[in-house]
Amino acid sequence: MRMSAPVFLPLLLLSLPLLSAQEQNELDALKAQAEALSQRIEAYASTRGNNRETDAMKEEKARGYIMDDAAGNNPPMEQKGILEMSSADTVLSVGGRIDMQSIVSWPEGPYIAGKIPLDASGENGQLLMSARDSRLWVKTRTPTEHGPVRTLIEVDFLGTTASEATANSHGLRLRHAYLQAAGWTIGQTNSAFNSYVTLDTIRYPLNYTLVRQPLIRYSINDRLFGYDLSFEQPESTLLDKNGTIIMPQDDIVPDVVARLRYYPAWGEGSLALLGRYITQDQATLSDGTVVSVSDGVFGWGVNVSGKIKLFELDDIRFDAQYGVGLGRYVAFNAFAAGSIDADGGIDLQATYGGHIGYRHWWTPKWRSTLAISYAATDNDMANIYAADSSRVNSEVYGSQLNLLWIPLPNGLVGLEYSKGVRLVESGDEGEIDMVSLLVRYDF
Amino acid sequence: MGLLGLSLLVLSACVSKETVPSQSSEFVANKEHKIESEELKILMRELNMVVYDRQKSELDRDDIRRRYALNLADVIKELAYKVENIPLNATEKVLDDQEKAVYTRYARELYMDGERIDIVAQKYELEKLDDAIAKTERTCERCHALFRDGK
Repeated sequence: MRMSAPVFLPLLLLSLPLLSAQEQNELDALKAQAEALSQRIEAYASTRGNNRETDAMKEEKARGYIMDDAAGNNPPMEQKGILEMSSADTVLSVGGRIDMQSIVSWPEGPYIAGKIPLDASGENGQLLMSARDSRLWVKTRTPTEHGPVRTLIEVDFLGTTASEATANSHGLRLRHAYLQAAGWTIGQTNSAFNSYVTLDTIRYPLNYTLVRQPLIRYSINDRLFGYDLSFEQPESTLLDKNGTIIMPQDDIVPDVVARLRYYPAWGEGSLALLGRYITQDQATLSDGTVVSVSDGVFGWGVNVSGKIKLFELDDIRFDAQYGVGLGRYVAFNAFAAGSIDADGGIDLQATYGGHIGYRHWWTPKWRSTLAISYAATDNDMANIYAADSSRVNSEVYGSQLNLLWIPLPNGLVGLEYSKGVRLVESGDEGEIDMVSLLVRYDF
Repeated sequence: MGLLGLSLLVLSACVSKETVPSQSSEFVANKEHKIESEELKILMRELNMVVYDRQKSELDRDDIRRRYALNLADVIKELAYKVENIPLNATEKVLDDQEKAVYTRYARELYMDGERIDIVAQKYELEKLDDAIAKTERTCERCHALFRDGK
């Protein structure tokens, strides 16, 4: 039977099952979620509309930066933590040394030629511990069309002495400050007269040639030889009638050193020649007296040092010096270059010295050096008051024996016994025995 | 690895007697190779000892290291030349063509390693010396692994 639509549809609707309460709840929940989602979409659309404007502004700004960069109008970008060098090709290196020494001596005093205590003044020593020989250096290397330009500044802490009772805040001291380029060395560094080959000891030998001073040096190097011509800071030292070494500070001519270095297969060696002009211009003596006239005399000196390789890794090292007017170049200024009389006349004196040491390797990490050293001078005592002759050093000699250990690369631990004797013109004699413990690391 | 460690490895590479892989031919090291090995050993040790030289500034030590490095380069290049030109009658067994080519390549690579050390030293680029020496060590080890006598 056929039904009409007006009848069929109501009947159809009535035949549809009605939603249960649970289903209605679910439907309501879905409607609520749809409503919330719609709100979120509207909110997002709203903010996006604002950012759209900021992005356009940013894009315009970026375009502007690009144009400014191209025109070179923008300042350099600032970044944190950048080390700026004067040249982009410069290599900067930093390093140094931690050096800790523990020293006991009898009597108390340094192992230095002119300062070994005389018997009359010495007293039993104390334990001294010091890190003052620690060092810090900064070096650079910049390639140029004339070859690399290298610089070095090195300091240690043997400057002003601070109290050992509290902070031990000893002062910085300049060791080296110089540049090297195209064979030239300019600044403060080791004198070319210093012994090129040195002993492998903790304490310096008593005759040591150790001078660091401002200089201008030119060097030529090849595989076998090196040649140096050096003009160095002059400084005359003269012994006055009171037995005191004075420095007139009237020098006008630089000390000149010519040195030859030799690198054969059997070792190495050096020969240095020194020429100097010792002068004074109405100098003031130690008692305040001013001499009436000026005087100047040429002095000279020669220093030979070398190393001879023996069997395995052992070697012998030595040096020897002789000169007239050598003065401060030998034995840490224990001797003057000459004497100055009451009228101001200068009389130079001969000074000589040397050391020799044998280095033996027990194992690849343990080694020892046995060394002896000597230095002396011919003082002109005619111009010295007899009462002051005890101030005037005449001779020093000493010996050293050590045991050194390399615990790790660039590390060193060592124990050394040193004995030194100092003689003065009065006939007095001083001795020192010293035991040094060293712990060092170069970084 | 410090320079001392690297040097010890170079020494062991050039002096030690490693077992040769069974698939490679046996090859007796020339006596002159050992002479250069001893020179290398001494130079490497002296390089490591520069830090203990007294009364030398850091630039002075660089000058000394540079001098040793230049000598080291010379010895390595001389060693490479001798290694490449070891006469056939000095060997126990003759290398076949393929082995000869590999061997020659290593010898020339060793020569280039020496050149590299020479250039680094000439330019005072001593901070690159460790790497240059390490590269040489690797060349020695690779060649020894294939051709060293395993006695």
